[in-house]
Formats: sequence, structure tokens, C-alpha cells
Amino acid sequence: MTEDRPAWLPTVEEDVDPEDQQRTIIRSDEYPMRVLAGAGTGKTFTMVRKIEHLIDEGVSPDRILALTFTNNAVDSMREKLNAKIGTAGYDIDAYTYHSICNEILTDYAYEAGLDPDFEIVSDAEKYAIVLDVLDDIEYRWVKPNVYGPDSYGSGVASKLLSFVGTMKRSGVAPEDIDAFLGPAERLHELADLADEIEAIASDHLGGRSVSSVLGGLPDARAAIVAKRDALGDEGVEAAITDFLDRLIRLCDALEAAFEAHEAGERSLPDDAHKLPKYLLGGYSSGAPSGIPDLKLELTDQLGDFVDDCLVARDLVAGYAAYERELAERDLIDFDGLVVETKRLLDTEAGSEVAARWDYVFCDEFQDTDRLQFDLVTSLVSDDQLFVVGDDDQAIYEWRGAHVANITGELDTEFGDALVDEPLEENFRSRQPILDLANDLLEELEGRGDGKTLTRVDEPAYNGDTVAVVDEADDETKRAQQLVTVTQNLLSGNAAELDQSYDPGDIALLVRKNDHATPILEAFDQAGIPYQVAGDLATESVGVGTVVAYLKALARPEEDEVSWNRVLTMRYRLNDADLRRLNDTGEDGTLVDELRDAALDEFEEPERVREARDHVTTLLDVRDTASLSHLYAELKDVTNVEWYLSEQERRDLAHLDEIVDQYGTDAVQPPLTGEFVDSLQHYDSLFDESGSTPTDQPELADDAVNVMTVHKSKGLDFPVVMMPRLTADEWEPGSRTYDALETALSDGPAAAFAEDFVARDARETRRVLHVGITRAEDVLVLQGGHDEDEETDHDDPHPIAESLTEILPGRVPWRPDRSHLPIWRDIQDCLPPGATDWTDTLASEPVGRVGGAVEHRDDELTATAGRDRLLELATASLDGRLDGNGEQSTLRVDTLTGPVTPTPALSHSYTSLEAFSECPRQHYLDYVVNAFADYSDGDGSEYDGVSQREVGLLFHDTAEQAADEGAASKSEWYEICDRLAGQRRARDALPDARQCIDRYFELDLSEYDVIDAEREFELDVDGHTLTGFIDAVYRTPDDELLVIDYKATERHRDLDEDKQLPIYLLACRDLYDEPVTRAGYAYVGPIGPNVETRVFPEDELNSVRSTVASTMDRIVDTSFQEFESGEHCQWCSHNELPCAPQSVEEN
Amino acid sequence: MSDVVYLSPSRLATYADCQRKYDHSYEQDVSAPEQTLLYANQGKAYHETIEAVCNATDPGEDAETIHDRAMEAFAEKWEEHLDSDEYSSRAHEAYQRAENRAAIDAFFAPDGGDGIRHARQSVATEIWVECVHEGLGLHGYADNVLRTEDGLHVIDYKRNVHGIITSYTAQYLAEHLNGETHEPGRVKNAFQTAAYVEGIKQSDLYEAGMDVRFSFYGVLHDTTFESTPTGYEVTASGRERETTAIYDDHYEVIWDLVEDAHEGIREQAYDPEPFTLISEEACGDCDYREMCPEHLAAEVQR
Repeated sequence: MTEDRPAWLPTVEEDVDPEDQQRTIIRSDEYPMRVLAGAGTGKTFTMVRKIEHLIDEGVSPDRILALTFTNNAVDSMREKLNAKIGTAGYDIDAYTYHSICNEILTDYAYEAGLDPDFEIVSDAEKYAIVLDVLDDIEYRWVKPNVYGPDSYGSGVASKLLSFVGTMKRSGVAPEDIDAFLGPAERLHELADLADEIEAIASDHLGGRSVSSVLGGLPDARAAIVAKRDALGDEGVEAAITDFLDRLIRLCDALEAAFEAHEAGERSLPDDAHKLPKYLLGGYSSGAPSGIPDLKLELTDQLGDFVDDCLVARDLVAGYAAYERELAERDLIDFDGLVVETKRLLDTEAGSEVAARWDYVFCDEFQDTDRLQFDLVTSLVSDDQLFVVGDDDQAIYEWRGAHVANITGELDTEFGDALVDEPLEENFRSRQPILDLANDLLEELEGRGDGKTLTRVDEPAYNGDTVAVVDEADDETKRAQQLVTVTQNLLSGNAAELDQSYDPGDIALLVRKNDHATPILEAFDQAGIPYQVAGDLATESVGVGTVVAYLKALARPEEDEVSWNRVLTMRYRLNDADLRRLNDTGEDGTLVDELRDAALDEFEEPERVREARDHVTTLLDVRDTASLSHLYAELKDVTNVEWYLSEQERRDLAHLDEIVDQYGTDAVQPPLTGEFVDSLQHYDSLFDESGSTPTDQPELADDAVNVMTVHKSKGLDFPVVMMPRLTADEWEPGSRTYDALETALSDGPAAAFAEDFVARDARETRRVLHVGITRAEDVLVLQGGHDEDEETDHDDPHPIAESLTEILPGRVPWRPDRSHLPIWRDIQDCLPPGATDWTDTLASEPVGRVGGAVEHRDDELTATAGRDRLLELATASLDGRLDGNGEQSTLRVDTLTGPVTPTPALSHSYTSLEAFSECPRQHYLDYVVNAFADYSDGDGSEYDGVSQREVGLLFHDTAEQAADEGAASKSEWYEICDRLAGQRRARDALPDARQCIDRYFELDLSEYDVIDAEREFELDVDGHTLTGFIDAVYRTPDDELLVIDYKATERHRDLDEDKQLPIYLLACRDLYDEPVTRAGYAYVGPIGPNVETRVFPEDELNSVRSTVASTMDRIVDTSFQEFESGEHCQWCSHNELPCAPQSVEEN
Repeated sequence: MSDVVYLSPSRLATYADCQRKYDHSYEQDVSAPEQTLLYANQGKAYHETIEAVCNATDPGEDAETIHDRAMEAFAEKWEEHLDSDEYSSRAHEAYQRAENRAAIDAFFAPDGGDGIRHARQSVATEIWVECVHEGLGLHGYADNVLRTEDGLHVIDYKRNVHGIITSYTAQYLAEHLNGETHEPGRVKNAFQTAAYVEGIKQSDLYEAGMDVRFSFYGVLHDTTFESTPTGYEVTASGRERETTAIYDDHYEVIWDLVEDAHEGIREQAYDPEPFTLISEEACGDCDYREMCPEHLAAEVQR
């Protein structure tokens, strides 16, 4: 560390030298440069080093703009820049593609014609606005049903959301669509055109031999020409003209082939005479006998396009109304940010904006859409553009990403000036995984470049790397195969594995949400913890109860089912009491009974009283609170989370995020039962895979991470499992508005220039590539062949072969366009050493997994143990248990679910302190992460502000202030207010502000902050002790001082203290200069005051040895040991019998 | 006869679907949020329209008059039962109104709509009927009773007759009785047929020698949505499905089914049996699933 470098800057974890390919790129002065970088090749690392190199060369950091997709990626880039180049890193503008637009529009709001106070609309507000504009839609071809048969998901509101999203991402405005489609009357006339072509085929091409069909082809052609000539030459009619031109070419090609056959110049297979009528849709029920199902009835292309146009004709008025509503409310949506910025850049202000930067760096460029491409090129001056991305990982085409941006579009924009450099050296996956990925890419048609990934510096490893599992026919058995694989990975007992893995090391990556569902159910049964990113959660009973509570509050008089659910699952009312509440008389309701019935009518009146109190409180809040506020109150008042399992709490986190979105904004959703229901399936309302390139999920380190391949982009895991790799499940398809959106973006002639199914097939192969290349050590692929797949492959139908020869270039659709034999391809590309786990690791757990229970000399599995326990409990309730202790005692050997051989113990000062007070408390809190005892939501904790909350708010404010360089009290206030708002801790704000007041009375506040919330890892005799140091200051005497803030009323004795010596020991690794002084800054009610002292070397060494022996003892810790005493009153498990009587009574 | 317990086909069918569902729905009378409130209210609108027209029509009245009466009654009934606030858009309400109006228009079409005959032949609407068969009491309201040349024809109006029992699917009644399959919908059709055929036979309307028939009539059985350059047009037409012959052919099985359900209700036996079958077939659509102890227990265990 140098003196001019603040110590709080992140440090470089490992000073890695760039590899050759990276070095070439970093040192190059050539611009514009495009780097096609394969998966795991360190593209962000290279980009950061290149920026660093530029700064070393004298470029001012604030002249550099770096863009990427996710906030996580921006943070990671910023951290790396700061680590490498110090504070100068903060001067570089690092943004997401959307946040740079927000920044520019905020700065140039006036020039952009926006209200300077504009805000970004949330998904929730967007949906509320869409519901408001439904009556603006002109219903002719769209049915006005707001809901589909089951939910909001398939009704007109969902249709409009999807339409607006598709069009805006391509920068298509309502007026563009209006102009393209033309008047409704004319569209109505065109609605049956596909049927008319099919009728032509039926009329002229029904001959029973090649010669008779040949005779009809000119007539059919002439009829199509007549249809074409009746069309206009603009907009939708021009697109249809282009399509009919292609059909005419097809007729010509067929005629030529048939003539050649008749002249004996070429042979045609049997039934080839049926092809013309089939291709033009003349058979009413698909392919006739003799013609395989090629999915090539070409009139379907026209029919689908015209249908999309008709729907668009109706929806465009809704789109326009949506835009008006946004403008009126000074809101702007995510796509709108880019649209408005692009518009601004096309004005005179554009050059001023672009002049802010000399260099533009772009990451993940293959995911940019058309608008973002234009945005980037508008921001580039003097061609000083650096673009990095991977066309092999382009998987967001279906959401508007324009893969050609990184290939053809850049070529067109910059021509010969564009310099290409490759990045193919991989630092992530083992070579067999890369071999498989490389070989599979060979199957990708039209691939731009020929990158071949090669692993560098591969660490030693002794286990299987690529494993396949032939999927079972039955869904339950299929799921069980992966459960067994997971159990084996967790135990690490099998010889095929190099090591055991933690749940967080394993990822389950799926193509579609429903591929995960049965596996999650099987994980539930096996007790394997998992965390789902997005809306993949199965029906979680716990989440269902929370949702039921909201539904009951939404319709308290009507929804007695939800009340019953809540009273059963949260308040544990027994059957008799529930029946009493349901006995409401003629006009009464359950909620009336709950509020008014005499408590002595119930068998368990306390439970009813608790429910009554909670419901009364929440119904009072309901009418005035926003959804998010009501939700927060619900959780606070009822403590419902305590009743959820660990898995259910994970599932609930997703609902938390969705409800959070509603904040306290003025636009609030209707609190109806249907709406609350829809929250559970929220992602599916907004897009089908719950994924956008701008999302990146938070990962769990203690649970298997489950997500779609799309969400896994940019992530890596030691183990990746991919289920359901079959042709049927991965079959590509076209998407709504494909042709229309293309025609609107690239002109009418583009609508039918490409086969969108073939495009999707290519993208699907890239999805597989992304999934495979997430794996570091082990890749498990589960799949199988579909029926008939082998036959199709080995013996292609002669009709298909012949057709491939006949079809002219102008017809982009080819036989087998939708067949993607993914499992066959995987089998063909398996690297040497790949193994089949079907009958081994997917079949039987190796060794004992899942724990065991002993009872009456039986060793029971966890499941059998649970059943036995229930049996005994029932016997006890029925009075059949004889009271014999031996019979009723179950001895738990291991009940920790899937076992890991060495449970990782993490130590911190707090955990050591807990251990010194009571080993049992430590065991519960830090070894097995036990739930805290139930605490009554109405208790004192709920009524008052917890000191912990105040302390947390103050600490985080101090950390944030250090990060932002905020040194004044008003700036601290501002940060504190913001944090309190974000975490709904406004109640703690007054006390936290008082802490700030006290802090600024201390001399300390004048000192330089060197570090804040500094994380450390201290190695003590083989144990790792982790923690955070609140702050390190440089005193006016140029001495470093470690400070721990205390916002509580408790005073610490410095002479007996162990916490500060630990921090000072940690400082030996953190700072180049000695740190000997440490102390406490009291900012709570007993402050303001600072007490510090110097801790001599021998005292530190003594603490070190005490800590080491404590940690040695902790290794053998168990539930059995405990110490009861005063500390029990603060213990979160003090309802256990070990607590003194006095604590229990309190 | 005073200790005969009378039960409606709906109650019996709910019990035949799931005993716990009966407990929640009838015994405890827990109100479920009406998922399809808009559809239930539409049902009231067309049922009451037909009732009003039939009550006001004389056998010899001309078709145009009946049609005009129907259209007027529909406007009133729609106004009475459908609340605009229940809809998220005015367009949605207008569409559903148009669909129902088209159904009434077609049903009472002067040139051969079935409703003209129903109105002219109607001798009673919303009539309460009761019957006792081997000690089992059944009762319920019959929507409309027509006086035909041969006797009486009871009509039960529905939205459509999709899924209504046919001579082919009637074979499932015996399988349901044996616990081999779960067919509560068709069992309900059979109970309704039994209750109304026997109920009418034991009513004042019945005269010896009369032939008694029973039919379901789907008023909106077929609907179409036709786009035009300026909007859309909807059409609807009805479909009748008679189940008298099915009742005759499966008489023993149907009364065994009635007996099973009747007995279970009287004895307050509400534990779901056979649970595996019910869990697989009935829970998915059950309004009480969210609160059902058996269902929740299975879910929690899972």
C-alpha cells in the first residue's frame, strides 16, 4: 500500500498477469476494436486492464465511459478498477446501458423535452397503467377479455404489455406501426389472403401425378401473381408482396424440377407430386400420406404475419395511450430511457454529450438491441470504441437483442478500420467440458467466427468431469436421478468424485421453468436445500399462507377460505374452534365472529385472541396503507415467518422483492384477491422465462442454485446439472411479432427474408453452450432420445432430401427446420473420458446420506424416523403411550440432511463470545443455524425501536459516508434518511440521528477515515476467524487507530477486552504500518465518548492463544453442553429447559 | 314420511366429489371467493330472462312478440345483475353483454329459436320438486317444465353442454360407484336427471300415463367472434342434450350412487375416501383446497 492510496480501496485479490492474448489486447492502441471472447476467458479482466493501461498512458479517467448490462457487472468492474488504479477508478464513468441513459437524460432533461423530475416506472406501475388504458384499445381482432380462463396472464392486459415491450425494444413507436399497417379496412380485406392462396393450391395442384400437377402449376402461379399485383407497394402490403414473390419463385422452381423429371433429366421420389399443394397449404389437414410432417406449409407464415398485424392494429391505440399516460405522470420506462436518449443524441445536444468521453468500452455487446447499438455509436467520437462480447453466448435475441450488432453491424459501421482480436484461453472450465462445448458449436450453422476454447493453468483433479444420465421415462424417477446425483455430490463418497461439494457449489440450470418443478419437489422430499432465482418456485405451502393472509385482508367479508387457511396454518386453531368461527348464522361472516364471539366459547381462547388482535390491527391498516406497507405490517404483527421452514423463507424472499416494487408510489395496484394471486406468478406475467439480460440473481452459498440458463449468464459453478435435454423439450419455435417487428425495423422486405424458427434453433444451441460453459469441475447432462428420432436421423426421408435440392434461395424455410436433436448431438460430441452415471451415481447414493435416527435398536433413515416420531406423537395424543422413557426416546445420531464430511465452521468475535457464554447457544446459532424461539409480535420488541436496528442504521450510515467521502453532518443525515427509507426502518431514524449528533461531537469526526467496515480473515493455528472492523482512522499524530462504534447503553471494559485485540491482530495482515491503538466510540445514550488504549504485543499474543484454544474446543462442540445464567435472558433459545426458571417466567 | 331427509342433486354431487368439500361447502358453509363471479352473474341474467319470458307467454302468442319480450327482459336483467365496477374495462363488459344478448336473441329467434317453443309450452318455471325413492328424499328447483304432446319435459339451462353426460360416458357412473374413477360432473348430471324426472312424477303437474323427459340446454353453447373493420360481432347458439334414456339405462347404478352420498351426508362422514383418487382428481379445482386439512397435510408432508 502506498501512502497516497487510501486503504479503504479494494485490493487486488491476486495479482494475475495477463495471458498472451489478453496482453495483446490490453497494449493495443488500435481502435475501434472488437474482441470476440469465449466463455470464461476473462473478458472483463481484460477490459479493466485495458482501461488501466490507457490511464497509465496518460488518458484522464473521466474521459472513459464503460458500459455493461447488469448492476452487478458494473459494481464488479468498478471494484476491479479501484483495486487496480485506486481512486482514479471513481472518475471513470461505469454504467449499465440503461443507467447511462438515465444519467444523460437527467443532465439534459430540458434539451430532451422531459420534466427534470422524471422517474423510472416500475414493473408494478407499468401494469397498473396498462389496466388503465384498456379502453383505449380498438377491439376488432383482439377479444376484450381482461383475464384469460385462469388468470391475468392470458388476457388482453398481458397481450398489451408484451406488445409494448417488443416494439419499444426495437425502437418502434406507435406512429410507425400505424403507418406500416395502414387502415383497418384494408387489413380486413387482407385477413383471408392465406386462405385464398391455399384455395388456389387446392384448385390447381390436386393432380395425382407429376405431369398433371405440372399442368396446374402455371395456373396456380398466375393466380398468385394476380393476388400480388393487386397489392400496394408500401407497409404491410409491400411485405406481403415480397412473400408472394417468394411463392412465385417457389412455383418456378417446382415447375423446373417437374419438367426435368418429365424430360427424364432428374428423378423424384414417390408422392413428390403432392409437394406443391402441400407447400402452398392446399391440404386441409397437414401433410398428406407420403409426405413427412416437415412443418413447411408456407402459407402459415403469411397467415401468422397477417394475424399479428391484425392484433397490432388493435393494440397500437393502447400502446399510444400507454405512452401518453407515462408522459402525463412524468414517468419513463426502461426501454423508453434508451429511446429518449437516442432521440436526444440526434439533436444538437448530441455532439456535446458525446464530447464528454474520448473512449467508449462496451461489455456483453452481443446482448445489445438495435437501439443500444445506435446509442453506443452515437456516443463514440474518433472511432475510439472497444467492444467485447461473445456471439456464441447471444441468447437474448428473442427479447430484442440483435446478434448482428457484434458481427455484421459493426463491420458495416466501421468498415476496414475495425480491428479484431480473439480471446479463447479459458480460466474456468476443465478441458473436457470445453471440448464438449467446442464440438457442439461445430453444429451451429452460420457461426460468425471459429473460436476454440482452451483451458490454461488447469489445477490437478481426480474425478469425472463430463457425465451423462439417460433420463428415466417417468417424471418422478427422472427427478430422483438428479436427487441421487446431488446426494452423491454432497457426500463426496463416490470414487468418481474428486471431492464433496457444498450445496451452493451446485447449480441446476433449466431451459424452461417446468423442467425444474418436479426436481424441486424431489429436493423438498429429500431435504436438499435449494434457492430458486425468479419465478421457478413450486407451490410453497408457507408462501401460500402469507398470500392467503393478504387475500383475506383484501376481501375480508368474502374470502372465508383464506381466513380458514390463515387460522389453521398461522394460528393453529383446532377443528372445533374453526367450526365455531365458521358457524356465522344467517348474515354473519367469519371475520365478524372472529372479532366479536365470546372467547369462552372456544377450546383454545388464547389462540383466537391472538388472531383477533392481529386481524383487527391489520384491517385498520388496510384502508390507508400501500400494498408494500400492509405487507410489512403483516409480517411484523403476525411474525408469520417464524412459522415457515427455511426453504419457505427462501421462497418468500421472491414475494418480498415483488411487493417491494410497489413501494409507496402514487400508482398503486387494486388490492383484489385476483391481484394478490397474480403476485405469486408475477414473472410469468412479464415475460415467459422470467429473465432479461439486465437481471442477475443473488446466489445462495448454502443451497443448490436453481435457475434458467438465461439467468445463469455470467455466473459459474463448480458443478452444473442440466435436465431434460431432449429434442422435444428443446424444440425451437417462432415467436409472436417476429416478422412484423423485423419488417418495422428493417423494412417490409425483411419480414420473410429469414426463417425465425431456424434462428431460434441457432439461439437454442447457444443456450446449451452457455449452460455447459457455466461448469468448472463437473457437468452432469440428463436427457434422452425422443421416439423416432433415431429413424429420422439415420434415414432422412427422400421427400425432404429432394425438397432441399428444389427449394430456391429466396425461400428461407427448409425441411427439418424445427428439429433440434440435442441429445444425439451431445452423444456425438462427448469427449474421451466422459462417463455414464445412469447406473451409478444417478442410481444409488454411495455410503450413508441423509442422517439416521436410532430407536429401540432400530437404525432408521431420516424419513422413517420422522414417521416413527409422528406415530409416537399420535400414540401420545391418544393416550396409548405407556410412558416408558426408553420407548419414547429417539436418539439422534445425525439429522442434518445430506451430510458433508467436514461441516465448515466459521468463527467471528461474536460467535466466540457466544461460545464463552454458553456452548449450546453457540451450537444453535453458529453450527446448526437453529430458528430462534417464537417471539410474540405484540411484545415489547414490536412496540419499541430495537437498539440493534438503531445500531445497524448508524453503522451502515458510517460505512456509506466513508464510501461516498461524506464528511459533514448534513451529508450523514441524508445517507441515514435514505437507508432508513430503503429498509423501512423509519422508526429507528430519530435515535440514529442522535447517534450521528453525538459522533460529530467527537474529535474523531475530524480525523481521516482510512477504512470503514473493513472485512478481515485471520488465520489462527489453522482456524479462520472472520469479521469487520468498523473504522480505522489516521489521528493528527499520524497514528492508525482502530475504532468500534457502540450505539448501545452497554459500557465495555477496555482492560478485559478481547474484541479489540483480535482487530489489532487482523491489522497486521491489512496494513503496512503497525497499528497498536484501538478503542470504542460511544455514540449511544452513554456517549459521546471515545475510550482507547494501546495493546502491547504480549497481550495480543496472549489473546491469540486464548482464541486458538477456544476454537479448538469449538470443533468438538455439541448441543449437550450449556451454561445457564444472566445471559439467558438475551438468548433467542431461552424457552429451552436449560434457561433458569426466572428467565422462563419472564 | 316425516323423517325423510331431502337433499338436492348439488349437495349429493358435492359429496360424491369429495366428502370434505361437502363439509366445507354445506356443513360449515364457508364462503369461497367467487372466482367466476362475472360468469355466475351472467347465469342469473339469462336464467331470469328465460323465466320472465316463459311466465309471460301464452301458448298461442306470436314469435315476434315473444322475441321482443325476451330482448327487453334481458336488458333489465343484465342491468340488475351485472355491475360495471366488477369489470376492469368497459370493453370487457360490453363484450360479455354482447355475447349473452346474442344468445338470448338466438334462443328466442322468431324463425325457429328453441326458446319460442319453450316459452309457449312452459307450464311452470323455477318449480320446487320433491321425490322419495326407497326412503331417499331428493328435491330441487326445476328451471322450466314444458307440456309436450306426450307429457312433460323438464329443462335445466346452462351456459353450455360441454362435458354433460352422454350415452357413451354414462359407463363411468358404475366406475365412480366402485371407486375406480372420479366422475363427479357426470354423477351430478345423473342426480339431476333422477331428481327432476322422479320429482315431476310426484308433482301436481303429473298425470298418469304422461311421458316425462329431462334435458340440459346450453344457451351459449356455440359462440363466434367475427371481426369487422369497425369492431366485432358475436353470435351465439344453444344446444340441447337429453338424458332421460341414460337415466333409464343406468337406473340401478344411479340410485346406488344417490344412496351412498345420502347415507354419508346423514351420518356426517366427511373424511375424504378414496383419498388418493380425490387428491389426484378433485383437489386441483377445489375452491376449498387452500384451507383443506387433508390437502394441506399432504402438501406439508411433501
